[in-house]
Amino acid sequence: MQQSKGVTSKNNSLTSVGIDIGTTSCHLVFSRLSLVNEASATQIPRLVIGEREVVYESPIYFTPLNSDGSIDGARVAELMRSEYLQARITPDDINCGAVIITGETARLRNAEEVLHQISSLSGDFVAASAGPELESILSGRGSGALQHSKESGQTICNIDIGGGTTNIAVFQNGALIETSCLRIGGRCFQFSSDGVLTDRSEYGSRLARSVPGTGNESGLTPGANVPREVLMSLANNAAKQILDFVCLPNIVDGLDNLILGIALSHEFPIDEYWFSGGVAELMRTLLAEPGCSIDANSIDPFLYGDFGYFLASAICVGVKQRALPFRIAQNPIRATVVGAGSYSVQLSGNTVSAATSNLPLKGVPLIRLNQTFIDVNDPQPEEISNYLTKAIAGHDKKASEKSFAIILHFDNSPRYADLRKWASALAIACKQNTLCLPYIFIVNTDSAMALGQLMRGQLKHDSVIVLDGIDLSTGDFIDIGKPIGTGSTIPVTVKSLIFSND
Amino acid sequence: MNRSRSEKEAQQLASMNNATPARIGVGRVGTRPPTNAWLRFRHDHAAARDAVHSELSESFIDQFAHANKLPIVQSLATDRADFVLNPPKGKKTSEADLAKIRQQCPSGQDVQIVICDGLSALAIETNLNELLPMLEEGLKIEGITSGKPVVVRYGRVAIADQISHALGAKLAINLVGERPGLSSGVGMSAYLTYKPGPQTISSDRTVVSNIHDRGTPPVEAGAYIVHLVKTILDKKVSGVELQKTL
Repeated sequence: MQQSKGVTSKNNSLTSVGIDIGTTSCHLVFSRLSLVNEASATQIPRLVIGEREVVYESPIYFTPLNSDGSIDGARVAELMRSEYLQARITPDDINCGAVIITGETARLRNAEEVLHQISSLSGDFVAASAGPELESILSGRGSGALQHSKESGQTICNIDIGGGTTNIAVFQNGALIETSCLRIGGRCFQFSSDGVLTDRSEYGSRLARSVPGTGNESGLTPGANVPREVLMSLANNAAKQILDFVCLPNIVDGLDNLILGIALSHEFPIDEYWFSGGVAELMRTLLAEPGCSIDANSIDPFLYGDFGYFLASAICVGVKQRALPFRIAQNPIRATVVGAGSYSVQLSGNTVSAATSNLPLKGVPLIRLNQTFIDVNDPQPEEISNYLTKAIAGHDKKASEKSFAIILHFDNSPRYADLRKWASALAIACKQNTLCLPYIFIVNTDSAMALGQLMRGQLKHDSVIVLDGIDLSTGDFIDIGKPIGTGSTIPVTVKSLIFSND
Repeated sequence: MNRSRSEKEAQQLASMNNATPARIGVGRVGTRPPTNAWLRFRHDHAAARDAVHSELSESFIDQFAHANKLPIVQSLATDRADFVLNPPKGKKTSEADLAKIRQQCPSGQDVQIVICDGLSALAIETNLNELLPMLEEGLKIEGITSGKPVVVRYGRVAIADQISHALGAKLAINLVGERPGLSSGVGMSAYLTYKPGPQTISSDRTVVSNIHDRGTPPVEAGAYIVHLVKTILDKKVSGVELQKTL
């Protein structure tokens, strides 16, 4: 429990898996996350993740699809299973991680089913699909943009362009500022190896209508041999949409239904734009070519059978024309999967709880107790109770069937007298709503052990879990893992709405 | 409209300053610190010195010790100056005071709490009202008995071992004002000793330090100490030996 500074604890690492099933490609990484007690020997232990080491990277596979365009879950599971064997890792070895499924609505029809098919691989505690907002964050962490913003003091906008979506996250001084997501990606058109158009996505059809002369789309239907100039001008339009969106305020015209979540505020001037994702991988290749052109001999723009090279070229040119300071992430295509594998889990502060036998708990909905309506200094059980009733009504789960996690926010570390009032009011409110046990609370201040003890005193039972040290500025659900280290630290993975498409 | 370099650096420094109470990036004027940084340093240094010389106030003694009918004793030091100049005197109390304690406190409890001013009486006055109720309620919830806390003037860490030994407690908790530093004059520590007595040495004690609002909040520390007490009673060992078992 009390180690000297910087020394790893006895159970000194977690094995984590990140699985990314994208529109175009799917792959996985295994990471080893070392646990370090950051507190000095005379203070309450504070376990944090020290080193994050990627110990195995799978090859990048094309995502297997069914004939209707949906993901072939059985074949994905088969691919992943072979990678586990290759890496000599079994699902039992996995402590945490995340599976992320991205792409267009059509692809995601059977996403839940796909998750179910790979669930046997993901061990006890792996978050299923993070949702667009968290994908943006994870790709920005995995690309190294967050870390660089911390080290350099810069404001960095990470743009992860994949097959189906463009995930954007802005970081400043090592903190997340905002995220956004566009339904634009490199697989909006698909081609045969000799460049014949074979398929197009919803966005592809839309893009096709944007070029004068092809308004009737006649030139851009499957089977057509579209001239490269036409494809390049389409790519320029798509690149303009992305770059306008990230660089200029109030650009939403023509983007209706393409923005997932909300647009960027543009209140934070960007020092550097970082690119990651599969398209950034191609940008890196093209940046070595004169004019970033796809016409170079060494480049076969139809190598991956999609629009990626065209889009990558247009973005390179656009970035240079606008003179944007930019860089390509170190391992662009793996940014999201590294984020999912290495950065999806958070560790709670030291906590003392008797209810850990209930863990792990998956998909616990978060209720943000809005304390602007409730007097922090004088919490009334009735007000809290009514708030909980309303919040629970918004979920399809009944209060008595599944635990909810209630988030408490205090502006300052609460004093003993305040915490006591809160414990008593919360105990009454939880009972009135016949919430399922264990009761779960998450506080933003360093108060988890104190509130836990006070709640146990009020409730006269031990079925209560109180956590602190978790950043829940985003997210709708959490997975709460089994205690690690010496048993007083709980791993938590945050998720946003699963498969929300708007 | 990008941030200027100085704006950027100011924001970066602000985020570093948020992470530490240390005096970083205060700047300089010629070869000296800027006036405001120098004044703040002098202020904090003065506060630290005041804390060392602070005595448990009459109002604290009245509202806390007298109101709860707690025994108040003194170490072998005759006054604050004697205590500061002769540290060993702070480790023991007189036979007369021990007799008084035996008379007023129940013996044979699981836990004996001893409260010492140590090197900052202010630390005790600032944190005790937050920590002690958590500690006492928590022990009760866990079914661990604890007698009447004893208040000691001019006391140092080892004195709790002497007092707890005299009362036959299994575990001594010494709440003591820490040596003040330049970032806080009100830090408190808790020292826990299993089977305290004359044979106790420093490595037998488990310590929780830096208890104050900007360190470990006292209310949280109270709950944590309950957990430590439980662990120590369970493992029947404290200090370095306890760490080896975890």
